Amino acid sequence: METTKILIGYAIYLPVALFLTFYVSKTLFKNSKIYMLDIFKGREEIANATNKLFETGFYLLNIGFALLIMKITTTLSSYQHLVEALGTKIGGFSIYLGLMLFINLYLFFRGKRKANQPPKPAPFPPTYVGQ
Amino acid sequence: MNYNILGYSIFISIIVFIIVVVGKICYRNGNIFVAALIPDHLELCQQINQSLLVSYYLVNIGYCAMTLIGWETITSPLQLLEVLALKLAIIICILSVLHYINIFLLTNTIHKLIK
Repeated sequence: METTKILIGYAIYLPVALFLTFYVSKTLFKNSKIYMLDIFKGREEIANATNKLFETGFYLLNIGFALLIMKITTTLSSYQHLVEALGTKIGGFSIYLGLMLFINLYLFFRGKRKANQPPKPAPFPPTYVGQ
Repeated sequence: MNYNILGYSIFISIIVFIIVVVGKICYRNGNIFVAALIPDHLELCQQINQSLLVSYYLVNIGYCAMTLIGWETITSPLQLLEVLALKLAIIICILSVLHYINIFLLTNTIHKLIK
C-alpha cells in the first residue's frame, strides 16, 4: 500500500505549505505598507500598487516552489518513513520561506536607504573644445 | 481512462485561472505606473495597458499550451498528481520571475521620475 501512503503525504503536505505561504505573506505585506510609503515619499497610490504587486510575486514564487519540491521520491514502506519524509519536506519549505522573507525585507530596506539618499548631481554635459 | 487527457484539462484550467487572476491584478495596479510614465494622457495610458494585458494573456496561455506536447505518458493517478504539480510549478516559477523583473524595472523608472 505504498501508493496510499504517498497520497496521504501529499494530502498533508500541500495544505500545510499553502497555509504557511498564506500566513507569511499576510504578515509580511500587512507590515510592509509603511516601508512602501516611505520609499515612494508618501505617494499612497503608487505605494499600494507596488505592495500589491510584490504580494502577488511572493505568492507565485512560494506556491511554485512548494509544488516544485512536492514529489516524494523515496520508497515509503512504513508510516515512520512517511513522517520522516514529510518532516524533510515541510522543514525544507519553511527554511526556504524564511530565506524569502529575509530577502524581501532586504529589498525593502535597500529601497528605503536608496530613497533617502539625496539625488546625484547631474553630470556635466559634454563640452566640445575647439572649432 | 486516459490519464493524459484528464491531466491536460486540469492543467489548462488551473493555469488559465492563475494567469487571468495575476493579469487582472497587474492590470489594475499597473494603470498608475503607466499613467505616471506618460502624464496628461490618461486615455492613451489605459489603452496601452489594455493591449499589454491582452498580449500577456496571449503569450502566457500560448506558451502553456505549447508545453503540453512534452508530457510523459501517465499510467496512474499518483503519477498524474506528480506530473501536474511539476508542470504547474515550472510555469508559476517562470511567471514569478518575470513578475519580479517587471516590479524592479517599474520601481526604478518611477524613482527616477519622482526625484
